Amino acid sequence: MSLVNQATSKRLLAVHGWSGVLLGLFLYVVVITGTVAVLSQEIGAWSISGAKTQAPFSQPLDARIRQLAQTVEPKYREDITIYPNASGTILVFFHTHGVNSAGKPDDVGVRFLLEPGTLKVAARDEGYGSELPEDRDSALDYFISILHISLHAPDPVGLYLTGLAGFVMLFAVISGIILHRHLIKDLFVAPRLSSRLLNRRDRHILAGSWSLPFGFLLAFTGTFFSFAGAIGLPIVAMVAFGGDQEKMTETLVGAPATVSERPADMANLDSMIARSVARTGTQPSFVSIAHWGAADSRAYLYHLPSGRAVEASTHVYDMASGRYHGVKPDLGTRPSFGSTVYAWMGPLHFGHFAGLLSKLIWVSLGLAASYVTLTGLRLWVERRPDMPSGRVLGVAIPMVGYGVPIGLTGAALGFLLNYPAGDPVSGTAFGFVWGCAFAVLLAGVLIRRGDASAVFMAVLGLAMVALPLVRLATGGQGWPDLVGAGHAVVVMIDLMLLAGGVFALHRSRRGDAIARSARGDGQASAAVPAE
Amino acid sequence: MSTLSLFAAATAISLLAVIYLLYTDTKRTRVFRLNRARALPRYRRAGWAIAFAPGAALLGLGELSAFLAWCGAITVLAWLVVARTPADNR
Amino acid sequence: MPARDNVLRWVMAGPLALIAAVVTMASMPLWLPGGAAGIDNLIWPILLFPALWAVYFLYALIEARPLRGTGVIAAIILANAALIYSRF
Repeated sequence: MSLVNQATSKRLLAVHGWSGVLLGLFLYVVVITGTVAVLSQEIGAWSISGAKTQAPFSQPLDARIRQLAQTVEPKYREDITIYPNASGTILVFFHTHGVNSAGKPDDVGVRFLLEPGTLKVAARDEGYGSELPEDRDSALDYFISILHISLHAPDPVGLYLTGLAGFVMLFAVISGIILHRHLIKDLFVAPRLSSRLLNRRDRHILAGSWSLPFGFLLAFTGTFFSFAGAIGLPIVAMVAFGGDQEKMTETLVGAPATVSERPADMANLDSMIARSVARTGTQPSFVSIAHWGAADSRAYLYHLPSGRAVEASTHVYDMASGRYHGVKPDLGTRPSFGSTVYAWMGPLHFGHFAGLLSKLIWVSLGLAASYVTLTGLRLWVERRPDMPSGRVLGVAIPMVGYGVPIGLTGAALGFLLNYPAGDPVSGTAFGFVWGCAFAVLLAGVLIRRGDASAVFMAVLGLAMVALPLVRLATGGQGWPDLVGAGHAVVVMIDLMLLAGGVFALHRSRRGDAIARSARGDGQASAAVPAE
Repeated sequence: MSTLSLFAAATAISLLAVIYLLYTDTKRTRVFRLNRARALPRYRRAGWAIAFAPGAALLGLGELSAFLAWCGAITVLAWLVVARTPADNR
Repeated sequence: MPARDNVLRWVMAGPLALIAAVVTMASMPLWLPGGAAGIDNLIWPILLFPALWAVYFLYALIEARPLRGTGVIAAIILANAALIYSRF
């Protein structure tokens, strides 16, 4: 069944194919880093061998916050954000709103890092939020997340780039649906082995067809997130608020209407948090206090979804009386359709609505999307083995396809080696760059060999298997200690690395199914790359 | 039943339905020249209905978290099951 | 005239589709209802931006006559721009 005429089909296929070729590897970088970033919290805990406290918000924060509030300038008490990092260190940021040196709206104030357990001030930094030094415990998970969100390019270029990648994927899904005339009929046809071209086509189409709904959702939500910050917010602010982005944000988020400068005693934050934990069954992941010290001060406790719910929930408390004001929608001060849809974008994209289970499912979906992207590129190469674009891509695909994961293992290596005594922030970044550089060099060496993919896969496998060993060697705890201390997530990441690495090593030796079947039929064939 | 067990049950039922659809798919049988002399009876519509029913049930029960997880899990599992080249039955 | 059609197709699908998406998003806060919390007209334009761009881009590729397509998209741009201009 053809949805469009032949001329349109040709145009759509051209766009689908060429956008894939020109931007496919770039899209792959965004997708694969996103896949890894789903587990950024777990990776963060793994990189430091487990958080030092499992319930950071159940520590006696109230006394420390009160004490610190007296040490900062009064204007910085307008907003306080409180959240733990991977090691359980609590970050407390007293801030107000300003415009930074780059001319962009930014939070400005004083940030404290509180040691888990003792709540001693481990660090104090002052300045604009985007310019504060990175917190070293989170260097690896932060690096991976920012790589995915903006490719570490300066704002707003990075967001434009990832937004563009998302749009390419979105349109590839739409054009794919229109172009694939036998989508339902082909759903149960495994990739055929009769020819290499047919096999490549089948692999791409089968993976693409099954992952269609999620390909669409992930691309749409991702594009939304990138462009919302880069274009959406500024433009809507220009039209509806005369360019005042701060006012727009306040309206969107739903800052309370009444403002009172009258000073008041603040209620006990610890008891508020304890009540919220009892009410939701989970620790908050984030606490924000507005107008500390004033009569209209409020605390917003943000809880990730639990039970049947998909959306996160924000619980509001009056800081003067300690009274519970109920749940606040993500946007606005009353429930609305817009707020509900917005609230779904996060869970749909990040997959964190059902804890580890949904995260692992989302990692699988991300791997499927990466597979669709790479097999699409392989198909292009297969159709044009003698054209320059085919030859260049032929080597570029394994170089980037395996190179980025190798770079990520380099980043982890850089973190692990520098965390004990060096600078893990730059160590992580350099590790990534060295890992990618190694992949490029390797591509240059392997360019004439037919088994580039197999060698790359073996290298990736080795790197993945090495990581848990390096973690142990650089002072990380062993499995019995980890399980005893309740850090099973570290063991899980170790196991995933070991299993993935062994799987990659095994596959790299297996060779090519098509070549085997061709040889089985009595045809001679040279060594061919494994997929 | 807990959200987790509802999710597991729904995914298992849908996966079984997908496997049934797999074994009764005519194009797959034809393309791989599989021996279907002792084939299962073909009830395509019933197969698809059973594949989707657990998801609809989760929605009806208001188990949105389990429903989303089911959508994702069955997508990946179905693809993995279908993508295996069938053994040569000539 | 294939050459002219080609140029029009590229312009339509490229810069024009993107500009159309941006101005449509920009004008939406002015005419969308605010909804129960008064913020729907602010968030929906941002939520819909990827869809707007996809729809205009798809139209640019599906439209059989590039001249007509260019006219349609240009008209959309002008209409939205006029709406925005009229409010200032």
